[in-house]
Amino acid sequence: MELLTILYSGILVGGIYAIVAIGLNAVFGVVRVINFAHGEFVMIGMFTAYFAWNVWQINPYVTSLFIAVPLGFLLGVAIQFFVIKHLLKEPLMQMFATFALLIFFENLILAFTGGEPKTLRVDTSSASFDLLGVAVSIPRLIVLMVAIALTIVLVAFLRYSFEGTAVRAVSQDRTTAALMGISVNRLYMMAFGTSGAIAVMAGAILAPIYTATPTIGFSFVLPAFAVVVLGGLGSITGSLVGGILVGIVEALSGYFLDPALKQAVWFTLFLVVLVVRPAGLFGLAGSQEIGHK
Amino acid sequence: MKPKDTAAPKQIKIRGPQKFSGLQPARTAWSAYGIAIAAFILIAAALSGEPYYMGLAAIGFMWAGLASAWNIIGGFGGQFSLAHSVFFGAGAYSVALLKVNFGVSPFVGMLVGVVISALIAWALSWALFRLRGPFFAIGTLALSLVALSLVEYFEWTGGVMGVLIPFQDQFITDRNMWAFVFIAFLALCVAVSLAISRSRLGYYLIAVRDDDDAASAAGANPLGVKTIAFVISAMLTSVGGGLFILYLGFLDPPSFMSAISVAAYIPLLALIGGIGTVVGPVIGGLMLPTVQALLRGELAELPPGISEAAMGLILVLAAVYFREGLWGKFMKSIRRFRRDSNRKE
Repeated sequence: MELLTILYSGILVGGIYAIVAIGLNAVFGVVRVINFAHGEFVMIGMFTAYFAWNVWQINPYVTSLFIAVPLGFLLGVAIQFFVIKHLLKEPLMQMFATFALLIFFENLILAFTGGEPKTLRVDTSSASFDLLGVAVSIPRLIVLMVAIALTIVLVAFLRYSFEGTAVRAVSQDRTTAALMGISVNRLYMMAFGTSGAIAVMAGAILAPIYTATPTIGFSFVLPAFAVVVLGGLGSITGSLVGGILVGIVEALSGYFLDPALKQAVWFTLFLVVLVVRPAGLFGLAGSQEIGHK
Repeated sequence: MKPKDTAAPKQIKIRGPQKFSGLQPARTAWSAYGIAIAAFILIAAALSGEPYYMGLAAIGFMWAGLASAWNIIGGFGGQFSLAHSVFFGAGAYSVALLKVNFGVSPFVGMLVGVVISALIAWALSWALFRLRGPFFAIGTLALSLVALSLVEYFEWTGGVMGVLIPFQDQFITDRNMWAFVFIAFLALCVAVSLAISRSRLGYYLIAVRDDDDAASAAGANPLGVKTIAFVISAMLTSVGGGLFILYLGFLDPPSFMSAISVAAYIPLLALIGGIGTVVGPVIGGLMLPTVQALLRGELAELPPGISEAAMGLILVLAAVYFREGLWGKFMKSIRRFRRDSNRKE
């Protein structure tokens, strides 16, 4: 029974990691840009949902679809257009720039909110139902469901649509893809927009679960990096499975070792995977070599 | 019949000989170094009696030294390490724990920290240097997070509370002295960096950074070269950590080992000044903390966060418009000026 509780909580936390990682993978897997500011999008989504609820009484799940998605898309496109586009051949400077963006967003939101943690309370916040005698939190289950739905949609898009094929082509070899007539620039814009939209939307549906603080973004982006690398660059399915794996490892180590050590445990796991198989569990071997030479 | 295998040697790309044409003779470079250090001492002497500015200067010199130390592996070697907080912390913890628990002199503590950091760097390099480009950055970032969560977990490191060095045990009580101590640290780091930049190791590092396959074909051992640079860089960083704990008197884990304010801040300094040069990281390290402190003073009446947000925006603009860093941009415009004036003649 106890093990079942741990498993549930691990899988549900994994859904949270997965949804952030899927958005990150859209950029890291395709454009090969390390976007440290990705977690800031999630944080902005949380605050957007909070204010939408407190000012206009808009339900966070409505916000996530109708406000967060367009907002995130615009944010992502703006970052690609104003910053990353100018730094495509400078991987170190990209890291620098996204790190600067992290500092910028974090402090901007701090200035707006006065640093006060904001908790969004809607009636579904603490709702749960019983599954095999263990309570399952509904908001967390929604996050997991959304993560699974996103995975299915994105995988289908990448596999069957013309644009999806173009995305895969660019992530494999951007020069050849450009020679085949693919507008790499437009595609990068799409990748950043999609990544931003997913992140801000994720933030909105995470708002009923977490207390929003300006610094919460960084604590989302690090697990997300681990998940992306674990699952494999550019592999959306990998992100979902990797997220759940990290969630379960975290829950187990929290139970058997010490909750304070859970970070150390899965970062060590992450380092080992990174060294043994840099392409990740689901990534094509060698995919880590593409795009940074 | 098989065509004769001519076994053509792999083409080695010589990227931009202009990178080397700017190299002055050793005597010029070392005299410039001496003049700069003398100027720093004069500036610090002129500021003494102004505690606020002396504090700014001390911290600026420290960050400049750390950025120079990072630049040895990060700039010359092109390995974007986000694990230098581990070595900074190792230096600080060695000094603080040995002092508080066993009354060991800070000098011995610093030496122990340097040895520990060198061992950590050496032991990890075989694993870390299998990772390339962004993966190296993420791997080292993970490492610095593991390190922080471990020192906050164990009791013998003082846990989340950190370590306090009682005031009567402090090493230098005259606050004015600190600027000069950190100038000495900066002088050490820049001397090592300058020596490496004109040594065989430095040329190997740059060759490995630009194309490690070609460099190893030409006889360099990429892993060995990177490891040596990483170890040297780690040792210098550890000295910085040992000095900083003596300066603060209180070891608060996040201010020594946080991912944002140490591990990523040091590379940020080097990048804004211009990586891969000796001068760039010094400029970045002196400028950025000072500008930050002044901005914080100027914008003190506004809500908290505005000054840091402005700083973030400045950094984004710097990344886009000063891609080579301040010093790189400056050298580039000088080169262009020279070329243009040569053409006119």
